[in-house]
Amino acid sequence: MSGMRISDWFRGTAEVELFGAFPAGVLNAAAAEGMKLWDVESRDENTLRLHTEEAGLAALGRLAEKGACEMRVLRRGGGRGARRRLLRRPALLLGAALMAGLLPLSSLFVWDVRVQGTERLSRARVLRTLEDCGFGVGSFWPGRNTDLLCSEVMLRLPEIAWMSVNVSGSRAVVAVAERTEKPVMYDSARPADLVAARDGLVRRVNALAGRAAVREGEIVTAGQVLVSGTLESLTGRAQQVRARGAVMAETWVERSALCPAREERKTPSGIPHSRFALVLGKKRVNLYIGSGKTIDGCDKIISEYTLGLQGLFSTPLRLVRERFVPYETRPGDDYDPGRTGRQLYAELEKSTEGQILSYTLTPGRRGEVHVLTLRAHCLENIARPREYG
Amino acid sequence: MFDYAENGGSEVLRLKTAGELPAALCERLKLPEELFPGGGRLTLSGGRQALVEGQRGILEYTPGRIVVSFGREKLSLQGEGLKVQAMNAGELLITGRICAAEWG
Repeated sequence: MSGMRISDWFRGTAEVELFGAFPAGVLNAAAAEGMKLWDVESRDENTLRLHTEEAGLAALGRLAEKGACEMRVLRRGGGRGARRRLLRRPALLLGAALMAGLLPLSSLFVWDVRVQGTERLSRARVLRTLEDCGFGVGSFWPGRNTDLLCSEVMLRLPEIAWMSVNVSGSRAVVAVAERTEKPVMYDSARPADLVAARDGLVRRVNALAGRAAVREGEIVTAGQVLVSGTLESLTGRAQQVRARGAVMAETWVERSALCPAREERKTPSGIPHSRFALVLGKKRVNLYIGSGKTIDGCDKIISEYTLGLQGLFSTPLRLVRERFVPYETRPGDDYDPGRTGRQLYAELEKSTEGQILSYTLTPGRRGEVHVLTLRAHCLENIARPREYG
Repeated sequence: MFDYAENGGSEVLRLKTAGELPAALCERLKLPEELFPGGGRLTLSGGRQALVEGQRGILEYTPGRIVVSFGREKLSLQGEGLKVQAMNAGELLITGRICAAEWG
């Protein structure tokens, strides 16, 4: 059950008013005879307005007479009259016939290319490579071997492990799987020292390979050798090994976060307006006067609508809508020292290979900037490998 | 009086009128009631749309109240801005703000 369809328009429709003691009775009789009725509106207790097919008007008139009601035709639409008017415009009909003929032909060309599965590789790079291989918007896809196309693209883009191209109804879906990067191999044989990552007071030295160069209670500076990979021999040449171990040291860390004291916050204002452009294949026709530049003080939101049926076929015609939403900026202060302090602490915790023994947060202000300083006392492993030569 | 015997007369359906037979059979045999003619069905969608099936005609139609006949029974829909969106021999599609439906 539904209202008017295109087929109803071709058959012709009429809006009718029934007036009488019980117009709903005429409605019941018409429905019982199989007439199609829609948009039935009650004007008052004795008046009904409804839409029906033009062909059933005579029968409805008879039923109205039988039900002691008066019937008045308010409007007619579609039907023979409209068809006659349409026939007087041969150019319009020819255009419609041409469009209907071109539509199946259009589905043999690619009008929309979608790339799926890219993470590190940009979609634009895949699309450019596909175009370099002769596949893009406007390509005649039945003449292309997709296996050969995939091989060609994969030769040009070594980052791709495999790919597939599926064309359906003028839409090409390019599915890409990126290659997993080869991990950096750890060379356990390469000689190295363990050096201090930052200044600190050494509390414990565990040298598993190599020779300890510092002792507990000693103060070290960043870059100083903690465990040496060079083992001297009294009888022969010095031997070089990869130093391994951990050096736990007390460190003092200071980190600051800066936040502007004054900030401008964007709030929508004024009436948004839109402008449109038509894109036919790769040609764009602006349906407005002026340049395509962004208007100052406005957010620009672009939406694209492709003419076609979702999942069935696409056409080369796209409607582009550019919506401009005016905004104004107002000063605001969103500074929250508690939240900033938590962020600073979380960052420090992430970068510390040990534990934070104690910390203090000191708020301050430097001109137009809020400054929050975190000072922490940590016990952490400061040993980092530094390979020779 | 109509009797329906089952299991050698151990269970008997006692009906006052012949009209009660379809409903009693449906209940006993676990069948949907719309299998038998004369049964009506109302489908409400979010209080904004009602599909009435098995209708025999409109008895009353105002923007605040629509009464539909199902033969011996009738359905009364009350609300605001009620409108018959489409109608054919057995079905009615009513839109508007439906506040109450009463079957009697």
